[in-house]
Amino acid sequence: MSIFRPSNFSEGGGLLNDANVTVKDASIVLWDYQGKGPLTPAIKFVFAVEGEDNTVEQYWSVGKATDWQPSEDGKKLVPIGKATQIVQSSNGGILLASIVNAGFPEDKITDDITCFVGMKGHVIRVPAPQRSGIAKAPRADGKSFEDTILTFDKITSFPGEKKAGKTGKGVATAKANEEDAGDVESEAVGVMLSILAENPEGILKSKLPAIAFKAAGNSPNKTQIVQLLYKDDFLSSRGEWTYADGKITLA
Amino acid sequence: MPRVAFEESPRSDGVHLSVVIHDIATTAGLDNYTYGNEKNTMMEMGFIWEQVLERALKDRYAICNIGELCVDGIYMTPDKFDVENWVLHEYKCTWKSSKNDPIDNWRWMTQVKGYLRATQTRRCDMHVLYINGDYKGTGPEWYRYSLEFTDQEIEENWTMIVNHAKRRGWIWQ
Repeated sequence: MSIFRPSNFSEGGGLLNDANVTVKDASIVLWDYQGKGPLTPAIKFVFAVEGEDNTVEQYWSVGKATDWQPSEDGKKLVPIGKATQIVQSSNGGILLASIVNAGFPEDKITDDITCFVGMKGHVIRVPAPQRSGIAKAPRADGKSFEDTILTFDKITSFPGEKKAGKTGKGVATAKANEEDAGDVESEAVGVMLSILAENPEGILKSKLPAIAFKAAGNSPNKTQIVQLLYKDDFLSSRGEWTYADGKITLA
Repeated sequence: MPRVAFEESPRSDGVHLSVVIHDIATTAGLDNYTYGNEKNTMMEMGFIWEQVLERALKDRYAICNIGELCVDGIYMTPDKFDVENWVLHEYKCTWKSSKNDPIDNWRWMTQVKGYLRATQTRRCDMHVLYINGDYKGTGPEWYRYSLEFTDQEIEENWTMIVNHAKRRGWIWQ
């Protein structure tokens, strides 16, 4: 199970902002906060930014150097101390959670951080959580800025996906696909609930495709609905019903 | 002699695809096949083959029953369906020789294209058990054919089926 998957986190973070980006490279490095802090294990993304000629490097710390080190090839996070999970409130934890929340399938996240290379999306800064016990040194110029973390709020293309035309069109297509995916999911939930209404004692997953195929009627999303309702991940993720021992029952 | 427990999927009243195909074939003189007393034995062999394959394939594919489908008033029951890959799986058990190409089997192809129309896919994996192989000493042979049709082929096939059923007065649209 990948330690980069948010479900595996333990409980416990020139500014790029509001931009469409492509992850050109991803690695695990030891980062010193541009010379302002101790060496810290961090996720490093190199972004190609829409409308910019140069790439931009971004770092997200994932814990302490006494707990984690980069692998020799810089692709993995190697535990060397007590920690076995990325802290959820670390910058890296918040970044990865945002990627999943933006639609990146968690089961596609591997222990190799380069699994994100090629991903396209929109990034935006969010306020960093208050962290007790961390004193922030005042800036030399006396100015004060709120701590923020760069996160993804949209994924428009997953690694390995074919480009959908020029950038503008591609983004539009991806947005449409996102909306379609949302439609399919809500439609699938509706189909499932209608099936459960007809079968109050619950229904076996093995019987579901045939019933769902009919229940989906003439929906243009019929194929995707039936496929979605056949996925254990989806069946287990919903609160409207429970899925156990191959049987789905109303919650 | 004990007989094999034979289960048929529930069939709705109404015209079934197999009936339309058989009627087209005999009316047009495509073949002169008539069902005789051997029908039950052949169907039971087919059923056994289906059960064996289902067990063999269930770990490799998300194979499931898609149940009885009805399109334009014509009912049909595809054998199995791979939901994850959206591929129809059709099982055939035949005494024909394995030297024959299933693509040349008009009844099979017409049926498969009808099922593809109903399940909204273009792909079918056809698993054929040739009971007597090539009739030259091979013994039983099993082949899996991966078939893919164009939308046009599937639509033309369906138009033929629907038009024939209409002419017979089996469906009204």
